[in-house]
Amino acid sequence: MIRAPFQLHTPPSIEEAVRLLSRCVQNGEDVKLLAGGQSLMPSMNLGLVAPAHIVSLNHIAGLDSIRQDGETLAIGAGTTHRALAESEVVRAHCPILSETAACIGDVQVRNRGTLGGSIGHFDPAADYPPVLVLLDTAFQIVGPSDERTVAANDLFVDYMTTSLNADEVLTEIRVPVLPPDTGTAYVKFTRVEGGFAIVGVGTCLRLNPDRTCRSIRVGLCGAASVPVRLTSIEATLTGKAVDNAFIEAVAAAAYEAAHDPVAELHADADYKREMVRVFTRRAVRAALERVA
Amino acid sequence: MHTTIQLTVNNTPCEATVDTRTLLVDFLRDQLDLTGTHLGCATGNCGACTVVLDGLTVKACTILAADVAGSAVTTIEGWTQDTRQSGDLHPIQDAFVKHHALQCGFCTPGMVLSVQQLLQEKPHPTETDIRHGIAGNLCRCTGYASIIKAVQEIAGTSSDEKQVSLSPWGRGLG
Amino acid sequence: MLLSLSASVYHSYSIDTENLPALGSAHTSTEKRLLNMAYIGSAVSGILDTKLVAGRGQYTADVSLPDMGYMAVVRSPYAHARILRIDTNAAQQHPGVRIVVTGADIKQWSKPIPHTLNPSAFGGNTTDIYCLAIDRVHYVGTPVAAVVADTRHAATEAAGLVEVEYADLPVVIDAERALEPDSPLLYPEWETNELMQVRFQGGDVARAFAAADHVLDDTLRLHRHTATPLEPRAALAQYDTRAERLTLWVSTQAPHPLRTTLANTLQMDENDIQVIQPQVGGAFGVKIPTYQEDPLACLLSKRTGKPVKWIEERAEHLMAGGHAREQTLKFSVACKADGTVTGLRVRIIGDVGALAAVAGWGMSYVASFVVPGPYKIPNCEVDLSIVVTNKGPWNAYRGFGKEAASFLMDRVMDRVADTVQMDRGAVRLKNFVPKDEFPYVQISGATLDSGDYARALQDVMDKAGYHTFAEEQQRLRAQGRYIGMGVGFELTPEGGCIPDSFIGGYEGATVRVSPSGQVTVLTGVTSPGSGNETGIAQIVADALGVPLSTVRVVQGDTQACPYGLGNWSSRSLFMGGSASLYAAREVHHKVLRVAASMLEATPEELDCEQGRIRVKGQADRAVAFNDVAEYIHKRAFDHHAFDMEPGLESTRYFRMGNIHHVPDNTGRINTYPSYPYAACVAVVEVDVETGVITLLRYVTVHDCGTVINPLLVEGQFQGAVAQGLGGLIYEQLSYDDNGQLQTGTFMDYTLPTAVEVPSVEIHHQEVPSPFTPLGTKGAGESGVSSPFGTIVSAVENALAPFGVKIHDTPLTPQRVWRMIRAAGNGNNEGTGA
Repeated sequence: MIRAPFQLHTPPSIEEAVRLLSRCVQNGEDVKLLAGGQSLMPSMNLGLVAPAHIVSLNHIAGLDSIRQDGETLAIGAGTTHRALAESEVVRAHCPILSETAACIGDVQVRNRGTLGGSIGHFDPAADYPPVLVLLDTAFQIVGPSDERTVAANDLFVDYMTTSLNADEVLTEIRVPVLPPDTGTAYVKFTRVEGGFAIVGVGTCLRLNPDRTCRSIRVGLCGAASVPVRLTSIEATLTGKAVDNAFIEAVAAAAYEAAHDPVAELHADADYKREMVRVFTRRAVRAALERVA
Repeated sequence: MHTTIQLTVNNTPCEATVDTRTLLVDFLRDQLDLTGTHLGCATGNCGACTVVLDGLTVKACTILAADVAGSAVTTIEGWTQDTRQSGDLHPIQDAFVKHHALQCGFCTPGMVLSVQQLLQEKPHPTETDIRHGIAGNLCRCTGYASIIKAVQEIAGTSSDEKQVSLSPWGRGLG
Repeated sequence: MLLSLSASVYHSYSIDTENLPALGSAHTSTEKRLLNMAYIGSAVSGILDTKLVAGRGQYTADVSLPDMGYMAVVRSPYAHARILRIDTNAAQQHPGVRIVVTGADIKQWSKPIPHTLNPSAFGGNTTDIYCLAIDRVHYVGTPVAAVVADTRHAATEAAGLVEVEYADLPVVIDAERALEPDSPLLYPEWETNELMQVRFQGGDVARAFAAADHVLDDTLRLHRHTATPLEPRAALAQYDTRAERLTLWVSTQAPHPLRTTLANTLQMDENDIQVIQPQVGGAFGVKIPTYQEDPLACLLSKRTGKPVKWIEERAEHLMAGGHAREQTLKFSVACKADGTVTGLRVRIIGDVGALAAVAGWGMSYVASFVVPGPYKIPNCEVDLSIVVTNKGPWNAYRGFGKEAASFLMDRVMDRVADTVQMDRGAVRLKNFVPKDEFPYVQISGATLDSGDYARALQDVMDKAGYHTFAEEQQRLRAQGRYIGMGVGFELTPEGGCIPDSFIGGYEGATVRVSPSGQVTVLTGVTSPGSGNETGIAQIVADALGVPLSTVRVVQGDTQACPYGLGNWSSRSLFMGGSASLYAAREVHHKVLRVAASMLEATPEELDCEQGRIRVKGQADRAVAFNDVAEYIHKRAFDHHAFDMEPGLESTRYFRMGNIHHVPDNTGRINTYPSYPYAACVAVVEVDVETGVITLLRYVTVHDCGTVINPLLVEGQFQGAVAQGLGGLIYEQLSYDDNGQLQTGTFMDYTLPTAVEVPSVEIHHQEVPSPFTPLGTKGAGESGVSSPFGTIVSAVENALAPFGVKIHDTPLTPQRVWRMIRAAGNGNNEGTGA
């Protein structure tokens, strides 16, 4: 049960939503965006969050569109995990994103939860961020005076903190159409089905005709308070034979990168770090299997 | 703070004034007396509050009643109304009864609605499909076996071969 | 006699028709046949299922009354503190608030809540528990104040406005630390944190150890977790100021005893209190009364003159709704080189949290009572310390301490097997109580009633492919995969009966036949969703020879039902069902007598099936059950019924045999009459890189005596295994050093989903109880204990190449991974800390 009263706003447009947010910010009133609510509502039910205003984005038409724009997929922030998981165009051109969406929570959570809601909430155990950082995602953000595009590295700032201002709304993300020969995988380790990720690893891998690495990208969830992209290996491993040593090199880089993971009750730092290594191996292997 | 909403519940249009804090589950139970939807955790974990919102199952403890104005909600009573007219249970409910796929009945309405959604999407689910399809609905009584049997009967499928298999991430039953 | 499940064998049962057995005597089931067994033994669907599956079950939270207020409870955020001051002014003035109360008010208006089991009756310490804390809090979640308001929102807001000033006290959350002389004390007047000590001993333990070929020691630790029924607790109290009468709708397992304790606490006449148990959404022990909120809601209804509703939030449940399981089990075992266990010393430390009025601490007592379980180890001693700490109080949870004894004995047997290099199953077979030695009295006085343990274990090993498993294991190991098979055995004493308490070994039932032939059964037992109402209806339908659809079972209403002790210890069907059988038989005698007169035959010549009474072998000489019923009601002065007591109703009580409260010559009593058991085999795969355990198979041979309804028994067993598995691997109530609960929601307290729980392969071995008229034993708890020992054994077996030895639970991936690493480093002390 939600303890503290609040005012609910259900704007029909982004402009109106931004206007409402600005007004709250100017008045110094705490405001939260509601975009699915699969994290916000439990937090409010537990009394952990008690905003004075809630601006619901659930009534804005068109915020859940998915379209291909040349070499880019433009995905509305209001797209549900379910819609993302099932979208033919996403499955065809950015399968790692549909695979990620399909493993979030459970059926009911995926039916209601949205891409933008998850990004804005930015739980360190969230599944999208590591994948979005490796995809060079561009985030389209609308504020009271302007619209801006932010790169993934600039969006996920710190523990549960994004660079979204309180009067801004994330409207869309843009991810590249992946070449059809890309092998991708997102693997996730949870305590029980539907639980939060202890670690999650996303991988995109392309091979040259001689089976050497043409490109590799790896994004990690659980390695730190923000998603980690293993940029160091992207150049050093390109051109290398994709064999066990290659996989171990990626895993070792992941282990190195996970030097300060967020410890949890059932997964302390040492364990998490080791799991980052294990699941990186598994993710790369899975991606490799899918290259062919 | 209160607001007036209009929505359709179990095919019946309704209008009500709600405190903005009111969760959909509490609205259904307290204001519409649709007590077949239950509240077990209020953190979106147990699934006892599962209802169908605009055709898709959701957890009604994670939704504000005031935020679903204009939507269509179906609760277990939506089926029961039909049941009372026809005198028959829905085939899913029949299968649950036959296999005693419930004990205390608290998770059952939500479980039944999740099964309905699963079967709509996959009329012939494998055992693994069934287990994943109901993973958002916890049951503390049955240990799930009888529920899985009931769904298999409706779907005309049988248990997966007992296999010692390890999924890529090392957890689950295949 | 071993019976298979086929329905036909039940016809070989025969029930004494003429002479109801003398109360308390051992029954035999080899006399004349009475029941036609149309339903007993059949997989009949639950009689409530069609209602529940349609969402038409009415649970306590679904009951509403006009003008009811809502109660919110203010709880301590500290694990140990003195209450210096409570300011309720702001809360009182909050809009919609009807009343705000603190411990001071409660002490003035009510008495302490009677303990369900008073530790002082066991020679232990005790303390008074009022509905709210009086001056001191002992765990995070202790109720310190309460508010009633017009709406739930207003009540919760006002609860947040109650200002409580606390003075911190030092916290102790570890039981062994709590036993140290310089530990902080929860109840200073005790001068210790030890609630009680218990000691059982028998034989010559010292000599057994001196003569042993091997002596092994180990310390095992079970972690804290709980039942978590999906329906939280709930209560709706209505005090009628004109009639001066109280009605309480409550999610409870024992309405009658609750009424008695309410009368005590509230200082009311029992006659003025009615307790109604609506549909209950699971209980598993944690809804055995009496919690503080139940009398509290009643009191506040009385003070406000209006109904008061309380619905527990999940976070409240996890902190204050009853915990279980946390025990340290130290053992030393003496054995011969051939695997015979000759001596056993056990020390148990039960960490029961703070003391409450509910009976949770009794689980630690039962753990010690059950040792050495199904094994014949005459030289045995058990020392128990039950210790209080600044954590949530225990309440009953399915298993009730028997899971600790099972885990302990399974570990003992596995250790002995390792040491003497024998098969784990063979060691158990060597040490079981032989089937021709029942009744067998254990050192505690536990009097094992019947069974064939060896047969059950041999059967389950055969069915699970135990003897050929090693080949598959080797094949997969070559691929780097680690599967393992474990064996385990749980003895699950049922029907607990403690002197001078409402934990008793009897039950009552009324069977009433209406003029239209409809049958109502009113029972003293209740159902929290476990299905005994269906089993009872089957028994009564067969006893009367009527269709099941004409039988209605009414439970959980103190105004309507005979006084009974409720649902726990798997007692409902074997005790409540036996009482119902007695009552039905008495009614049936009257029906037969009148029918015989009508048909010009003798009662012995009659048969009654599906509501039709006929002379055996003569289809045309028949009369409808309904017509006889109508005759008896309307024509009591006509000749067929004239010489008989009018009416078609009987209330009978069943007293269970095999309960001994008069101490024997060594001072022992027997508090459990029925000893079901299950032999189990588990197959797991362990991912050695992550420590993740996947339970692939769980196979059991289970004996609960005569199976009245396999759907019910198998459903209970499967659900119990799921809870045991959940407890072993996924669920943990974890506290930090300050006594703060770290797993206070279902996000952190992770329950297994359908993906984690495999379907159990269940086989029945029916060795009828000699102490019940149908041969039934307790069924319901069975299955929750064996996963601890069986799965741990399987994990050790899977990890044999690493030499991992498991001592502690839970088997979370991180802990298993640590054990593998530690073993790999030459340290096989698998504590996985």
